[in-house]
Amino acid sequence: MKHAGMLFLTGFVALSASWAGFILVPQLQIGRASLGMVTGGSDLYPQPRPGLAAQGAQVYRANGCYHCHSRQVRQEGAAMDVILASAGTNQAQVLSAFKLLDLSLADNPLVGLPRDLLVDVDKSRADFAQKTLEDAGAKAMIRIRATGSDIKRGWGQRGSVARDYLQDQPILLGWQRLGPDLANIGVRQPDPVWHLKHLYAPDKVVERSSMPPYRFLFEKRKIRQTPSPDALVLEGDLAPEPGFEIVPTGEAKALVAYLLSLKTDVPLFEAPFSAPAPAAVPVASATNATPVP
Amino acid sequence: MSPSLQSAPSAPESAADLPATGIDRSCRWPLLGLYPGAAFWLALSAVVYLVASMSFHAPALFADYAWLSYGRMAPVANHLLLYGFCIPAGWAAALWILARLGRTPLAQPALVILGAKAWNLGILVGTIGLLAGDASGFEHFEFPLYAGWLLLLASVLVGVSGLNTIRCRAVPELHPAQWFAGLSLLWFPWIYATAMGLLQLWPVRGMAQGAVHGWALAQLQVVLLALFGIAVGFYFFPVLKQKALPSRHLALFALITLILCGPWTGVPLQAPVPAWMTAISRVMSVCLLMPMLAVLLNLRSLCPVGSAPGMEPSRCLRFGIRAWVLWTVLVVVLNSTALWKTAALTLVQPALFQWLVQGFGTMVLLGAIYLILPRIAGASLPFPALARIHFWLASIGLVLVVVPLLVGGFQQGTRLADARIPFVDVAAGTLMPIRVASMGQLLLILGHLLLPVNVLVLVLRLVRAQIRQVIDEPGGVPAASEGPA
Ligand code: HEC
Repeated sequence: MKHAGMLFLTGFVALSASWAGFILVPQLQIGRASLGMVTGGSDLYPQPRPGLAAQGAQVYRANGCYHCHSRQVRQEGAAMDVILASAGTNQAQVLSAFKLLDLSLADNPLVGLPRDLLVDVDKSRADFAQKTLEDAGAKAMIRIRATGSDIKRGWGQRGSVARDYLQDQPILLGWQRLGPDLANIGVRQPDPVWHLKHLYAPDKVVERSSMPPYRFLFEKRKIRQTPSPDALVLEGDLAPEPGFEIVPTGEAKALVAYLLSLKTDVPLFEAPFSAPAPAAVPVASATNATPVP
Repeated sequence: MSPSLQSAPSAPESAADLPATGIDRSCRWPLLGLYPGAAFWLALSAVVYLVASMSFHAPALFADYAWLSYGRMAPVANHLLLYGFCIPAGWAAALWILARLGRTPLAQPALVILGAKAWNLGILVGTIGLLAGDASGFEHFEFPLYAGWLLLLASVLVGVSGLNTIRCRAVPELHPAQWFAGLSLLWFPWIYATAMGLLQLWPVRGMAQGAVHGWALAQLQVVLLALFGIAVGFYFFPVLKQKALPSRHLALFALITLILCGPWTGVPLQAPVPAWMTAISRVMSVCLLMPMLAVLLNLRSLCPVGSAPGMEPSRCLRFGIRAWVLWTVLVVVLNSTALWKTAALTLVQPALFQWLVQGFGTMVLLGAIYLILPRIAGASLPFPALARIHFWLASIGLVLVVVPLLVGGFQQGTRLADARIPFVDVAAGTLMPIRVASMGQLLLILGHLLLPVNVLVLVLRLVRAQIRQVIDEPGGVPAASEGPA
């Protein structure tokens, strides 16, 4: 490459290629995505965050919470369970379907419904089992569970997908897990008082917590005629001297509203899961679980 | 003022060395506009890293001060390192290389001086913005818009001067170092404008932001730093060894593979983006082997050794290139195995960042500074011993920072993957590596504080000489008679 013109042309081509590939195409693919339907429902997802939570997102951003917390649940795969919801009228036929499916018949399988018939099978087996049972007049459902250590930790019921972030600006994915993942903290910890106290003194709320306290999001002030209803209830060495109270600032309240709004608890087409339908659910309401056709 | 170093390691390409002093002098004030700021920000970033890590020694220490909290200190430190030091120091080296190899004085030096002022103002304003809570929320692109405009303006000013220097070159054929240096000037305005525009000004929706961010990250860290580093390597290794660069073809291969593959490597593999993006990112990361091997083959026979005066800074260059090789190997291993799953979202990420930006970028550019400063000043460094100490403190400190983070990160990842280990235990396990890294950070601070000493004393001496000259010969043009014979 002897000439400057050639050099800059090469640079330009390389830059444009990656620009087109990683900026333009994703913009067409994701940026234009419309809100999706929640599987098995009619709600659009995701909904914009309500005003206070939207302000809270900016508090989260301003204080760099994303330098310690990720907001993306990882999913390794999916497992399927087959649940027998009801045996229908022709029990003999259902029992022969069991044989066909190679299911052991140690106890009477048709009592205590609904119950798990198959656990952790792949899709083709689950589909086959469901079809065979339904042909026999029984009612069977497939439950989809996301798998992976994040899910096991209770950080979410499914992995995060691009659609989850459609309403976010900035997306605040995070690149570190010095603290737990917060994609679902609103489901896991729905109590605003817990959050306020945790922000004020994490180690008093979570044993051995190494999260830094955010006392600057709170105000210590003299109690006027009546104590503020927002004031934190603090004991021991945390409590302010008599006559004073610790009150969350507007920022703290907004931040907590944001944390409570962090929920990716709905199944989507690209991220399916079934709400847990444990064996204890009475037959009548077993249809709450989303059957996957 | 002693003209000592001027003659020491002469460049083969300036064998007809007549214009070199004039060229160096044309670079003097523009580069001395960039270097003191860079040196200061580098030292400050080292201090801020330590302050940030205090949150892991004593979590409640800064509980009452928003601006000192971890979430604000960490980005400040990263930005001072990357934007405060690496980029202006890289530009300074690039400009000087363009002028030297083109055998032409730096074109429009005033633009660079102005650009340096705008840049340093941008860094200052941006840092205050981060401290005040105006971060954009995208790691390593967190400066607020109002600082971004200044940075963009500065990069255009510097770029114009650089491109004009290429245009005015007296040697028609471009040397490989000029390819890399020239493109490095072009790169930043484009990536920063894209990041500013599509992440902050007219933000794209949802995860499309993640795509833009990943692209910009790779451009900034993987491509831009490599452009700087390879330009410096391709220029100084031959100069110090007094041999020509073995192969232009290999150099061309390195350039093309770097700028074709590098930009695609920034999407984190676990990110919730369409699967094709992470797949491409993964493949392209493995492809980074190509530019690395091409550069390595080219420089293999040129490794400058020896401790003759003037050769000292080559230690930094060698360390830097080796760090880059090691970084590439790590990235390739992570991307070609399942190890990335363990490394994602752990301390491995800051470890890789530190190793690339400090081990490769900063080290190579420090070597360049210590080699270029005496040349543009026409005088040896005020304290050459401090430059040597700087290298040792910085390299040992860096290893002490990166190794614990790397080991701790893999441990953290392994524990995170085991859901039976409660999260507080996982978090507790990250404290020790971070605390050990703080020890290394102390050494880095001591080291990086030495650079401003050399730079400032040098500038003071030059200014004093200039003033004396004006007084001695009133009405005379000061620069005309000064400088080494
Ligand atoms: C220095 C790192 C760090 C920073 C910065 C940080 N956190 Fe944390 N956070 C942690 C750690 C460690 C834990 C786990 C211990 C605990 O629950 O207190 C945690 C836990 C949490 C939890 C409880 C999660 C759960 O699963 O119970 C919430 C909520 C939280 N942080 C919110 C925030 C918010 C909001 C911010 C920003 C204002 C923030 N954190 C900043 C480290 C951090």
